[in-house]
Amino acid sequence: MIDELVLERIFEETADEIAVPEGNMTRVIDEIERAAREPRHVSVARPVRVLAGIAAAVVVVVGLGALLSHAGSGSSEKSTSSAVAQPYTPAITHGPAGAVSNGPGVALSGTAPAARSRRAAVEGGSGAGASTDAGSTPSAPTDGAKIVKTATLDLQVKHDTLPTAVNRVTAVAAGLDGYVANSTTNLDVDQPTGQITLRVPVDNFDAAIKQLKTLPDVKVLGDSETGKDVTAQYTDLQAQLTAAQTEEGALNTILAGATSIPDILNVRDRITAVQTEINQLQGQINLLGDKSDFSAIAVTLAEKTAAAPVAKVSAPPTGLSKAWNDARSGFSSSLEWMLARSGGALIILIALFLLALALRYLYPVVRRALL
Amino acid sequence: VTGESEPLGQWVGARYAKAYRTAVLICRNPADAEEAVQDAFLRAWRFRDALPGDDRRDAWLYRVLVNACYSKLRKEVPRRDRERERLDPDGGPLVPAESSPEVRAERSAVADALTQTLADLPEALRVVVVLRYYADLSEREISIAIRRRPGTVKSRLHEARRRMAADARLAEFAPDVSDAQVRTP
Repeated sequence: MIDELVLERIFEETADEIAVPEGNMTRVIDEIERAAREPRHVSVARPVRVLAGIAAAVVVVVGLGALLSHAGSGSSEKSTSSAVAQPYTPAITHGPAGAVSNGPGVALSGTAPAARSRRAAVEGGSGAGASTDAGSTPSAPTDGAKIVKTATLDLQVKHDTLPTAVNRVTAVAAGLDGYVANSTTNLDVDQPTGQITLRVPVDNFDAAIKQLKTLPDVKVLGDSETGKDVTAQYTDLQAQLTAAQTEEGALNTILAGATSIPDILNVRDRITAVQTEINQLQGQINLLGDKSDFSAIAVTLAEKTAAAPVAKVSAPPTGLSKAWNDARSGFSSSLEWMLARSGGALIILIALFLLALALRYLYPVVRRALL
Repeated sequence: VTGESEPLGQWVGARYAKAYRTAVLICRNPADAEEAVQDAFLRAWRFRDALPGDDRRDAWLYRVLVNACYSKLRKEVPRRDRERERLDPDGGPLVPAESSPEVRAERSAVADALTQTLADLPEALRVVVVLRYYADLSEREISIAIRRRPGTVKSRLHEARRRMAADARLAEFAPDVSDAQVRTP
């Protein structure tokens, strides 16, 4: 190993052989003094940079805040509208077109277009909708006429009261000498529902409708009534039946007088065909009679869903709060206006400006670190 | 850089020659060394607010100088290599290429031997050995100058001295004296 003192001597001797160019040191000093006479770049520009940086940060923060605030208010509006629209969904589903309806105007009026159109149909077409199918008013049948009357009711019941409501609807049918033709309930869902078809004597039809609409804890979302005049069809069937019965009697007379086997067989075949026709006519007559004697009322029950959270309405701001909101709104509007009219160029310019600002501010720090 | 009590000219004058020669020993090229030194003093002035207290300012000056030398070495390798091959294939000129033959003739044999030995050392070892035995920086100051741990500086110094001891060109002037007194940093 070389002795360090010897190394120092060798380095000293070697360095002495290196001639220091004259004038270099003077030139360096001149350069430094010239730099010293110039405004100190870092110290003079530092406040400006700091202020510009703070301003840029404020602009970015306020802009982001305004944008986020705007986005947040948009999503709030969406949730509110969905919450408002939800109660109308069953009404839209069950609302029959072209039918007589007496829907509640208070609950359904307002915002939902489907509800408004249905309400217009209710108010404008009351008592006339049934004429589309029957040509006569179901509530005012003529004497001896055969009218098949049907009705649908969309009822909303309180949460967790569907079984009770089903029992009450069934009791209405029983109390008016009617019966339950069909009943279906679905309780194992978020919104339990039930469909019940009642058959009540036609004379009790109006009473049944009235009782169903006035059930406790029930809200009528929509209803419809239709009446179909089957008098002509019923009369025609009766006439055909009378003719067939007359023919059957005549054939029986002929059969009694027949002597040959072929004649007897032919007459029996004919009697069999006529009896079949009589049975069919009688069935149709009975069906029409049953339909006209017992009206069908289709009741749809749906539980009311849990109330959606309603957006909290705060008191209108005043004073500084109002000024701040106005400023924020104005800034957001101005920003949107600028962005809308400048396209991507403004965004690129802002990004470049912020990048240049960051580089300008960070450059001395980086240089010091690399020094 | 200079502090309020030391004028600029005095501060530069007291350090320029040593800084220049240090740069020449590291860069092995007077022109690159001149530019490196000038850059180092100017940068030290420009970023004087970032420099530490007086006791470490020289170390920071050499740190700037070493960085400038590294920059010159990496940027000027092709030109320097061509110039070295043209002027002195064995080592490299310590004096400007335009120096007279008389000047070159006066160079001592010790200087030639050390020049050639330094030329064979890697940059990392050459820098620490120059800073230690010519610029007279402590190992701590060298660690600041080259931004390495003091342990790294110590190991590099040890490796540099080992290689120099093994170089026959220095053997005549600096014999292997492993049993000699070793100075404590």
